[in-house]
Amino acid sequence: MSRLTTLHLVLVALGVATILSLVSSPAPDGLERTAEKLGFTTYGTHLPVPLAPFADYVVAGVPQTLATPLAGFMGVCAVCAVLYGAGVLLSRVRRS
Amino acid sequence: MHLPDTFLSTQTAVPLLGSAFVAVAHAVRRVRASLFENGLVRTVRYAGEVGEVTLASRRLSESGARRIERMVAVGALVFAFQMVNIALPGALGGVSGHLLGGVFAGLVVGPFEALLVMSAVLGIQAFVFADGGLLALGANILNMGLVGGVGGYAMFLYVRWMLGIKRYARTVAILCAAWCSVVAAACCAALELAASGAAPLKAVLATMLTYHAGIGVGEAVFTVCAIALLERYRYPLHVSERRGGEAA
Repeated sequence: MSRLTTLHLVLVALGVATILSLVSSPAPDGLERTAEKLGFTTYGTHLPVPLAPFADYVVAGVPQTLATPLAGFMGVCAVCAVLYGAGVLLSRVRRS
Repeated sequence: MHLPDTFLSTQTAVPLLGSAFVAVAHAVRRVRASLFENGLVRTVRYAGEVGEVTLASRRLSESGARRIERMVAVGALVFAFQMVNIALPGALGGVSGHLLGGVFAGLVVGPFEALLVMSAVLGIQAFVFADGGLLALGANILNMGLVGGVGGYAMFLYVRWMLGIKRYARTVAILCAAWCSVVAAACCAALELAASGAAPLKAVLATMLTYHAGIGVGEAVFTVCAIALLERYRYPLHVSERRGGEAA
């Protein structure tokens, strides 16, 4: 029986983010449904998010069927990179 | 349950952002301290008194290095599964929910590590995918990371302790903690929405709790299954580590 490693889990995550995300339900989530029901979907002023390149998990300018898997793939890579970088910073010792 | 900037007033979002920063900074200190090998203990004599000091170690411990690796894996999984919304059946039809993963992360890497993982995931979701607001990031980190992750893990420890040595104690504790983490996070989000004046407290609390009581069931089942699978294939887990020791 093989032993799971971190690499396996990252591959599973990539699989889920690219393939399983295609069957994600389009229904509003609990918070969005609450907002619809109580009528505060557009409450307050909308702040534009100029930084978000893949808003709503869609890569612009790519065919529909590829947009979300591509966003998921890059998202998983970004999370891995950020957490690995954080790990490197956390484990660095101060020279005193 | 990612709050966008439009739902929160600035007077609510900014203090929450500050609180989240404090919580994350504390987690960084806790995690950092636990990554290194225990320092050498030296006996010192000073002014006639004899005492012991622990010298700070500069060596990253073996378990510390592996924990960082596990944080990467957990972050990737939490992000991926948060992309998959599942429609709720029956009376809650028309609503979908996705995994939060705070308790799952806590069980695999430990509660404060889980807060860091959740913060990283939520930060990327906000900055890259516009899922959750930038000003609301503090509220989201507090709801899903601190309450859902650290709080959920505390709930797990409490229930497991209450059930004692019974064989099913851990499974029941995971189920309870995962369900409670979603409901508690929803409760906090409702309070923040009410404080922002988005909706009256009673209505928003009741609606959020109704939907998330359903979503929590999914979270509980997922967490138990995922932990069982990881354990079956001998992935090292924080929750399987012997107290004060390393993973077997």
